[in-house]
Amino acid sequence: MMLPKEYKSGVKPIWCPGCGHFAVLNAITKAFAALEQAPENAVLVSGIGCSSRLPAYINSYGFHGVHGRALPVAAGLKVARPDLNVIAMGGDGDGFSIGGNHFLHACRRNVDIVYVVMDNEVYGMTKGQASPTTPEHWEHSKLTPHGPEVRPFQPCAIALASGASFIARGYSGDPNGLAHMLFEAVQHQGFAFIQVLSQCPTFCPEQVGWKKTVHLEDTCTDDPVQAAAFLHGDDGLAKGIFYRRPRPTWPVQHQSTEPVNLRKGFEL
Amino acid sequence: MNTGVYEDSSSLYSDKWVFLAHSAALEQEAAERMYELAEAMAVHNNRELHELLTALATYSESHAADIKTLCKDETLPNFKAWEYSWPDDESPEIFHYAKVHYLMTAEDALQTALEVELSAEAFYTDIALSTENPEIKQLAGAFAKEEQEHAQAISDRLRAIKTVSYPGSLKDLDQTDFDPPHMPE
Amino acid sequence: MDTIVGPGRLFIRRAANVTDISQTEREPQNQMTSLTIAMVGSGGAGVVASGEMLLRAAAGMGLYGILRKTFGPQIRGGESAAIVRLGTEVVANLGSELEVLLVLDWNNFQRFADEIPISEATVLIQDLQAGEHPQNLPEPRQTLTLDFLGLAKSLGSSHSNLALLGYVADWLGCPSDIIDSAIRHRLREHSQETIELAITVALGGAQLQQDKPIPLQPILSAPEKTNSIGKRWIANGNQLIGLGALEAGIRFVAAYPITPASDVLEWMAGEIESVGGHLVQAEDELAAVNMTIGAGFGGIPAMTATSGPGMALMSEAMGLAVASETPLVVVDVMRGGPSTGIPTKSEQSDFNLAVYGLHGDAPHVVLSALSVADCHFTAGWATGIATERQTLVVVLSDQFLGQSSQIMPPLANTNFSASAAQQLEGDTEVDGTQRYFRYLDTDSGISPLALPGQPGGMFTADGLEHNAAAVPSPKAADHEQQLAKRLRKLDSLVESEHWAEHSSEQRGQGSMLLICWGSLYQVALEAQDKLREKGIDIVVMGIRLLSPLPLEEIKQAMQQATQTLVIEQNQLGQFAHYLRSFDRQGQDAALPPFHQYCRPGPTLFTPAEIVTQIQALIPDQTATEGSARQ
Repeated sequence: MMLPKEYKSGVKPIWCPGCGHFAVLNAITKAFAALEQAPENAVLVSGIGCSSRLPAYINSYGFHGVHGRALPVAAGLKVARPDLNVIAMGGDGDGFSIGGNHFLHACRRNVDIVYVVMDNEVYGMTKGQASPTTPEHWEHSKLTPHGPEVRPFQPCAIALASGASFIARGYSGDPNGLAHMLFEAVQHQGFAFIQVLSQCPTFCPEQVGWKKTVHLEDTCTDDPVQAAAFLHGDDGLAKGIFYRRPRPTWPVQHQSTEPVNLRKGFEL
Repeated sequence: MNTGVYEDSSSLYSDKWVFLAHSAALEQEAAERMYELAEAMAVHNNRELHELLTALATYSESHAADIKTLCKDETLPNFKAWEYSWPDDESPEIFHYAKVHYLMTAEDALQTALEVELSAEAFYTDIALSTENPEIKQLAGAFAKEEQEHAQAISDRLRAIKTVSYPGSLKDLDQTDFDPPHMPE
Repeated sequence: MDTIVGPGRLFIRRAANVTDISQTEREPQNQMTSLTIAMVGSGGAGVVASGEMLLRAAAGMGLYGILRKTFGPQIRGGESAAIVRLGTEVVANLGSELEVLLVLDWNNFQRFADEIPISEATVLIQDLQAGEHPQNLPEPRQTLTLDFLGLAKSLGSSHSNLALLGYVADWLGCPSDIIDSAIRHRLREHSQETIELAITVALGGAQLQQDKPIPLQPILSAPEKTNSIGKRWIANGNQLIGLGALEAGIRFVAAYPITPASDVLEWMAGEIESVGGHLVQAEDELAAVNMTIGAGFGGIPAMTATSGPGMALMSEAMGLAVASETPLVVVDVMRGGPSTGIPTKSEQSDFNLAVYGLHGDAPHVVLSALSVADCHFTAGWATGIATERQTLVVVLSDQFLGQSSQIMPPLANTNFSASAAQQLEGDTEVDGTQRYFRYLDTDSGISPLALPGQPGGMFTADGLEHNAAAVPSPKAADHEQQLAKRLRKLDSLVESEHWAEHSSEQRGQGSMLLICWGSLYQVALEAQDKLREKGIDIVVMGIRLLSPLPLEEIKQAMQQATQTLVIEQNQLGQFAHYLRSFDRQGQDAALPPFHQYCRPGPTLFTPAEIVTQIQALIPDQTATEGSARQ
């Protein structure tokens, strides 16, 4: 049995002090300890961005890919190696903007992986531009001086509409609760999505206020209609597991066919 | 599922080993968080804070070692992270991530350290007052006293730093950042 | 005049009732070993199906052949044609001439007239309902107008293509039982009723040929019906890519549909589960290539197949495979570009994308398949290289190779094996007893590779520059070390005997050298045969390993040759530019000067075209012949 801290790799995070991603790192180590996860059987897959640096900080296998493509790498790995515990992760820009299409199809495909999005509503790595989840009138980026003037993306509602079978929102101020969600998500058969409100003290210092405004909602349901009603009335600051409805995962296991002669079809 | 506080907290007040498991975790987590923060400060070239936080971490670490000694060969109950009965989301002696900023000063760090020591003291004091288990009452009282001593030491240190008076919260910090963030990727 | 040559030869003899034609217009008859037939109709007329059945029937007769299908971009309707070239020896390209053109419908013919080499020597057979004969076609030698549609209708069918099939097959001397089985095979998923009617119509077509024969007579000295006939294969290059890959150990495919690569995937989808693998239809090419990288990271040999536009989308992640040293095979079945270009037709214009298309300094391997059959070998080799060297291998095929069906002898197993290759894991072992350096700077450049699940080998593969321990690092020393290592691990590839195919062991000694790659190799080989008949000896080099380029070998061959011509099917002469880029003037490495001939698709290169180009470079042919004989 390993202690949470033994799941840290020893590589020093580059994150700013106070970054919410430290809490996600902390939660993953706690969830792994609770799962008694063999480090060699877990793979953390990420894209590009501050949060995507996380795999290097965990004592497991990791894959730090290109921007927006953590989900396909993770899905390919899991389909090829179903014996592994595969967790994809990244930020809101990585997952919902450049990788948005993969998000929809990962929810729909329901490969048995966990996807953790550390959502700080900003592109931190490129110096504070608006992301898909940035509030409409957030005016702190030179790139969008009037604010994005676009309605924020609703990750959980879109995950539900796209067919995700496990949907939760955690908060970096509550790493223990997040660890519990991860623990449940890993054990869920199918695609499990966790949006983590993860504060960015550098570009969005106002997110420090989440400590007071994030609230626990014990509304978990297996009814998509009920979940949709909740998510559409949601202020975006509720935490909890909102939806859990197991359904068949991909790939579907077909009856194993006898080994065939691959060449037979070419013969006259 | 409840992602919040562990519902059944009664055993914390009645079972010595559950109480000690909490105490050990409280100190261990406090130390780990402080070291993590110290490392982050080192990465961000804030050497003063790195040293200060490392020193503060040793308080908790030594306390954790004391508890370990106290338990001798006894194996403490193994709780999952979310099964502990903390009064808040996290253990009481922990630096909350939202309290931290890379431009934070030694005063800020000491003030937060003071707050968490006092919060740990309050945790133990509450148990000492509420429990009917004499052994737990005795241990909790002793731990509360230790936390109080730590708090006093930090308080002294805070007073010794003769710079601007403690500004209270991040809002009051001078927001001028002469070292704006980089764009690494 | 009838001319018959030895056994195993197929040639054309003029029927007694046909006007004599000048011998000078044609090849010497004793060299005629093949003939080419085109069947043209509007899309939906079924000429492509007829072509497939004709090819199968020819194979049943013991002939070899190749079938090219050509379509417009429409799903239905538009234009379509099947061009079948048959011969008594392996036929690997479409040749230069068309002996017989059969037209069910002239509508839209102009859209691909360029691809159908009609000449004065072509005999034209057209349907009564075919419509207006296009104005600007060369006047065919002879035209027959027959009522295929009427024949089909009289038998209760609307399928004039089947009447056409029977007509041509009978002309070739194909026995009715072979036509019968070719139709049954093609229509095997249809009702018994449909099949029987189809056979009736085809036999009606055969009878029509007896009554109104094609005024050209192929004399077949068809091989004895031996067992070897039954062992022939019919396959296209796309299927053979799939076969080569699966046999070498590919067990994961992710891809997005794209013409003309989709049938690589469709073939593999039908087979891969039986060998314990998976194929994923991804949401786009970005996902496809990244899924493939994920599987490769997991130690499962993986590939994707696409065409130019798809590979352009994949190029970022291809750089990731290079940087993270993850085995990856990307097959590009090239089509006309840029942009959507000409999706259904062949071109060699993705060379630059394949070789130069990655950002940063990203050494990787680029191979080209040299024939339909070579798709099998090259896919196997690519799989072996990717896993052995932990890198990206791009395989360039093209629409011609990919979608042309060829009759061929059964292919030997390539004996490439991804799993065996993985044993060559670098210079040290991963055993967990000491710190593991995933990107260790070894002599070979290949570092020990741990796979997820292996205790003691935990690391994070990274597209960020990293040090030997796989920790992200922007340090100059680490960057230089890792760049050098990734380049070095490909070095020894140029020593592989598989780097090229040569038409002669001499490799150009004293004669002209013709350098090509991809599907042009087979065309060039036939050009070589034609030139030899004219007394001109050339040597053909078909380069399979395009990158890293075995420059020393090429330079040596060029130095030994009297002169060198580089040919390719793209506008810019992409390969020639690449080759020229290695010319370091004034230094030892300087390449001899060379000629280049390039032009875009979609018109296929023909042997005659290459012959013309070479003859133009040899003004005094008598002298050359003389020297060749010395």
